[in-house]
Amino acid sequence: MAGGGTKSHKLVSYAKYGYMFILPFFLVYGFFMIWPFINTVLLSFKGNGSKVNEWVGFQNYSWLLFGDKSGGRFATGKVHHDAFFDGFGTTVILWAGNFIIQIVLSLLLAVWFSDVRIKIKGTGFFKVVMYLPNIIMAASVAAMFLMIFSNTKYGVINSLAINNGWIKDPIPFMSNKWMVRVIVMFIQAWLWFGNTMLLLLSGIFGIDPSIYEAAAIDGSSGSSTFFRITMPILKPIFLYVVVTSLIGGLQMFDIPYLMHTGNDPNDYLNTVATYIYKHFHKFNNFGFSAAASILLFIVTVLLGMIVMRFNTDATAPKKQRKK
Amino acid sequence: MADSYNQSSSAYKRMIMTHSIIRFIVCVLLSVICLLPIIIILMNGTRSSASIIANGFSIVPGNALSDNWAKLTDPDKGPFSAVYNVWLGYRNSLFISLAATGVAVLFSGLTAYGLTVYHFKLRNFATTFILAVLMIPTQVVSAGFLDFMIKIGWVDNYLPLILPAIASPSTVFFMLQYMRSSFPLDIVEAARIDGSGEVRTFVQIALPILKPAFAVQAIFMFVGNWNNYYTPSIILLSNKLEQRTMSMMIQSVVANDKNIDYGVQYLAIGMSVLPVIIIYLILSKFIVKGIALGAVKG
Amino acid sequence: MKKRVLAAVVAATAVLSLAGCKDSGTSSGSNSGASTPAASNTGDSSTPAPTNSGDESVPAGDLVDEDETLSILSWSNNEDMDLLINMFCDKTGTDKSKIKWVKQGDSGGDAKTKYKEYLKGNGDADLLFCDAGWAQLYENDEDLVIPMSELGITKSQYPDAYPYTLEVGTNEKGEFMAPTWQATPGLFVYNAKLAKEHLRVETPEQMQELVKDWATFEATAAKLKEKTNGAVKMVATEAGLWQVKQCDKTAKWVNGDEFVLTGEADKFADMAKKYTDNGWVDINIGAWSGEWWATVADESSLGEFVPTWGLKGNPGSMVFNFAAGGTWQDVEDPDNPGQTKKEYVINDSAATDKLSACAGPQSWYWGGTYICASKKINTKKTAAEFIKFFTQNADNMKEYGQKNGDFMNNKNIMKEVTFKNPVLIGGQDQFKILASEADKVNMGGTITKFDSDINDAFNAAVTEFCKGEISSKDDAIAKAKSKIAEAYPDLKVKD
Repeated sequence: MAGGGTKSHKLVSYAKYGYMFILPFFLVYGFFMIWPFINTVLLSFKGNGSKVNEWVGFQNYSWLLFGDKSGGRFATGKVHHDAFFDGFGTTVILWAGNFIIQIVLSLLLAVWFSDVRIKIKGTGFFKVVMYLPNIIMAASVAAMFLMIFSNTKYGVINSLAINNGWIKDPIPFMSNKWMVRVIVMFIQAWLWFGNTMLLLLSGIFGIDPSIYEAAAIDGSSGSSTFFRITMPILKPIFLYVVVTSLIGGLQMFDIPYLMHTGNDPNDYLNTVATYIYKHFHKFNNFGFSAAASILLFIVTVLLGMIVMRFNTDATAPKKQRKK
Repeated sequence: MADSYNQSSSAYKRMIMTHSIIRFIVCVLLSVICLLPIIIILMNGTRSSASIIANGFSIVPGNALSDNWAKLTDPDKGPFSAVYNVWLGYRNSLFISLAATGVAVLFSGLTAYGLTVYHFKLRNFATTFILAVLMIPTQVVSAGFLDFMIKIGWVDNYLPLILPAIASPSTVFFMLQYMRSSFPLDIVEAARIDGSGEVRTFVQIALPILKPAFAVQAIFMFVGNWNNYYTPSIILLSNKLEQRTMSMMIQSVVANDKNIDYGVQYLAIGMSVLPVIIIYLILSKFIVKGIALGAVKG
Repeated sequence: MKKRVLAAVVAATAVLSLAGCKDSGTSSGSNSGASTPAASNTGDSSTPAPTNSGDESVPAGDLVDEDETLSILSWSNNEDMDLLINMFCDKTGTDKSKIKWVKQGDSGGDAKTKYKEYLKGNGDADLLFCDAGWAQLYENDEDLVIPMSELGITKSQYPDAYPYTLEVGTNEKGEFMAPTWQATPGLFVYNAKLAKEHLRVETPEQMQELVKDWATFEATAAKLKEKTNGAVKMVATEAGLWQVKQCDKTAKWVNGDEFVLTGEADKFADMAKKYTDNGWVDINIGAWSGEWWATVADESSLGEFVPTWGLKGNPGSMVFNFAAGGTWQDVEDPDNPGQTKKEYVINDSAATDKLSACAGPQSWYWGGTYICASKKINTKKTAAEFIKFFTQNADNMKEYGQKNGDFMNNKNIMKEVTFKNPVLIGGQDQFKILASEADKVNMGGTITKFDSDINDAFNAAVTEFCKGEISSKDDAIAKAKSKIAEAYPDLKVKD
C-alpha cells in the first residue's frame, strides 16, 4: 500500500482508514448537535421572561451561582439561586443512593453469574429476568409506583395494611421528604441494575475463560480471582458503567418529574434537569435554563475527568511499544 | 477460603453447596421483584377499572379483557381510537427502533474500531471529544434541536428520529472500553499479513469478536428508542395518527384525565411491553451464550 | 496542521448556521413574555367596557377562505368533536371533509403547551379551542392569535351571553378574543342516600338549605362528621374547594408588574387548613385520579363540586364516575328506525338513585372551551360561520345543549331548556339551578394572563401546608411567592 512519505511506513498508510471510519460519526454529530449546543450557550447569556432577546452577559450565571443579596426574599436572583442549589443537592442525593445500590448489586451478580466454581442453577433465567424492569416506560413505572405508595387508603400498601388491621390510618408516603426520595432511589436502582449487570457481564464474557481455568488450577480463591484477575480486565467496562451512571444520575429527569399527583411536580424531587425543563418549556426563562444546562455540563465534565483518570487499559503498554 | 487441595472433598463440596444455595435464594428474590410488575401490568390489563381501584394488584387475570380492548380500539365504545392504534403503533415504533438501533450499533462499532486500531494525529482529540459530548446533558440540546429541525423542515417525519443515532457517543464509548479489555489488536496485524483489506478485516474478523458488545448495546438502544416518548412527541408536531409511535400512544391513553380507566391503561401498556419482551428474549441468547469465540488462541 | 483545519471547519459551520438563524435562537418557545404586562395595564379594574371591540370589525362579507380546510385544534374527545362538526355540516350543508379536527394534547393542561408547539410547525391551524384556565395566555399573545374583530365578530353581538364568559374571552388590552358556546357554572353534587341517613334530607331543596352559604356549609360538615365519626367527609377534594374559591377574588393577582397576594388567598389558606384539620375533607385525595371517583363512589365523601361539563351523563364524565356502573347495550336507533346502535346504558340501579345536585354555598365556574382564532388562520369565512353557528344562533345552541347536556351561553335559552340528567336521581333537571347560578358569577375584572400558573403555585403551597409538609401559613405563602417569582422574572414580588 502506497503511503505518505513519513517515518513509519506501516502506521501512516493506515491512518486514513482511521479518519474514514470515524467520519460518519462526526459528520452527523456536527450537523445535528453543534448548532443546538451553541444556541444554548448563546441563550445562557441572554435574558428571561420578556427579556429573552436582550444580552445580559454573565448575570444568569452569577445569579445561579451566587444569588442576589440585594433584592429581598423574593428577588429573581435569590429565588433562582435557591432553586438551582436545591435542585443540585437533590440530584446528588438521589444519584448517590441509587448508584450505590445499583453498582453493588450488579457487580455482585455479574461475579456470581460468571463464577466457574460456585455455580447457580438457572442463571440464564435470572439474567434475562433482571433486565425486565428497564423495558417499562418511565411514565408507566411512575404511575405504578404512585399507585403503590399513594398517601390515601386506596394505595396498594396502605390498603393492604389497613385491611389486615396492621395500621389504622394510611401512611402518607409521598408527603415525607425522605420517604419520597428513598422511593425514587429504589425505583431508579430497580430500573437500571439489570442493565448495568448485563454490561458488566458482557465485559466479563469478553475475557478468555482459559484464564479462569488457569487461576482455578493455581488455587486462586473466589475473591482473589475476582480482584486480581477479573477486575483489572473488567476495569474499562466498569469505568464505563461508573461514568455513564454518573452522567445519567446528574441528568435524572424522568422519574422525579413524573412522581407526583396533581398539577405540579413534587417539590422534594426537584433535580437540576427538572429545573432546566421547567424553565424552558413551561415558562419563558431561557436564560436561566440555558445557563443551568451549561453549568451542569461543566460539573459533569469535571467529575467525568476525575473518573477517567483511572482509565488505563490492559493493552496500552503493548501499543505504545509499537510506536 | 482454602483451596481445594487442603480440605477434604466433602467439606469443600458442602461449602460450595451452601454458597450456591444462598446465592440462588437471593437471585430468586430479585427475580420476583423484577418479574412482578410485568405480571401485574399484564394481569391488570384484563381487569376492570373498578376492580383495580378496589384492589390494586392481583396476580390472577380478570375477565374484562375484551371490554378493555373494545374501549381501547373501538371508536363507538371508547374515546381512545383517535390516538391509539395498536398496529400502527407497532409498525411505527418497530421501524424507528430497528432503524435507529441498526445505525447506532453499526456506526458506533465502526467509530470505536477506527479509534482503537488506527493511529492518526487527531485520534486523542477525537476520543476526548466523544467523551466530552457524552457529558452534554440532553436538555441542553433538545430544544435547539427542535428549532433546527423546524427550520430545515424536518418535522413530522422520521429522519430526525433515526439519523442522529449514527452519532451515539455512549455506544461508542462502550465499544471503546470493550475493545480495550477484550479486543486483541494482534488480530488486525495478522489479518493484514494475510492480505485482508481493512474493511474486510472489520466485517469478517472484528465484528464476530464484538458480538456480545453489539448484542448488549442493541438491546439497550432498541428498548430506549421504543420507550422514547420525548423526542418523537416534539418532532412529530402534528400528531398524526399514522405517524405516532407506541410510546406516544400510551402516553395519550395514560394522561387522558377525563377518561380514567385503569384497565384500559394497563392493557395499553401491556401491549407495548409484550413485543419488547419477545424481542429481548430472542436477542438475549447472544448474551447468555456469549463466550469469547474469536479470542486469539495459541 | 490538520487539527487547525478541522477546528476552522467546525467554527465555520457554526458561524454559517448562526448567520442563517440569527433571531431564531429566541423564537424557540413563544414570546408570550414579550408583551410586557405594563403595556397591557388597563389601570381600572372594572369590567372592560367594549371599547375598541365595538364596531370596528371586518364586515362579514369581506371574509374569504384561502384554503379548503378549517382546522380546529382541540384536546377533546371524539364524541364531542364529532357532534360539533356533524351538526355544523348537516345544517349548513358544508362538506364534512372541509372541517378537520386536529387533536393536540391529552388533557386540558397538556394542550396548553401542545398548541404552542404545533403552531411552530407548518400544520394548518385555524381555530384553537382553549380552556378557560389558560385561555388568557393565548389571548394575550399576539404572535399566536388574532382578535375576533378580524373575523367580523364583536362583543356587542353577545347580548345574551353570561357576563363572566365575556370577561374570560377578553384580553388585557380590552380586545375581544374568544367567544364560547358554553357557560360552565357548577353545582354541589351529593350522595342522597348518605344525606338522608345522616342529615335527614329528602329533597335537593332541603339539602340546599343546609349548604346555602359557607357558614351553614361548615356547620353541616361538622354535624356530618359527628354523626359518622369522621367516616364520611363533607367534600371529596380540596381541589374542588379551590375551584370554587378561585372565583372569589376581589382584586387581580398582578397589578401592573407587581404580584399582589389578595386577602382572599390568605383566607383560603386558612379555610383549607380548617377543613383538613376538622376532617371535613381528605387532603390526600387528588382530583383527576381513580381515588377521586372512588371516594364518592364508595361513600367516603358526601359530595363534590361539579361543573356543567362534569354533569353530563355519558361515560367518563365526573358525575358518571362518581356514580359508577353500566353496560353496553343495543338500543333502538331513533334516527334509523328498525336499526340498533350501541349505547352505554346505566342499568345498575344503584347508580341512578345515588346522586342529587343542589346549588351550593356560592356561584362559581370552572373551565369552559373558548374559541381563539390562530394567527395562521386562512379559512376566515368558514371559521366565522362556525363560530357564529355555535355561539350566536340560539336555535343551534338549544339543540346542541339538549343533545349534549352542555350548558349553553345564552340566558334566554337556558331559561326555557330542561335537561334530565340520567345519572341524578329522578332525572333531576340540572339546568334549572344552573341557570340562576351562571348569572351570578362575576369575576369583577380580576382575570390576568398569569392566573393559570399563579393559581397552581398557590394551591400547591396551600396543599402542602394542609398536609403538614409546611408548618406555618406564612411559610406556605412565602413558598408560593418564591415559586411565582421563579416562574416570572418580570414580576416584582414584594416581601
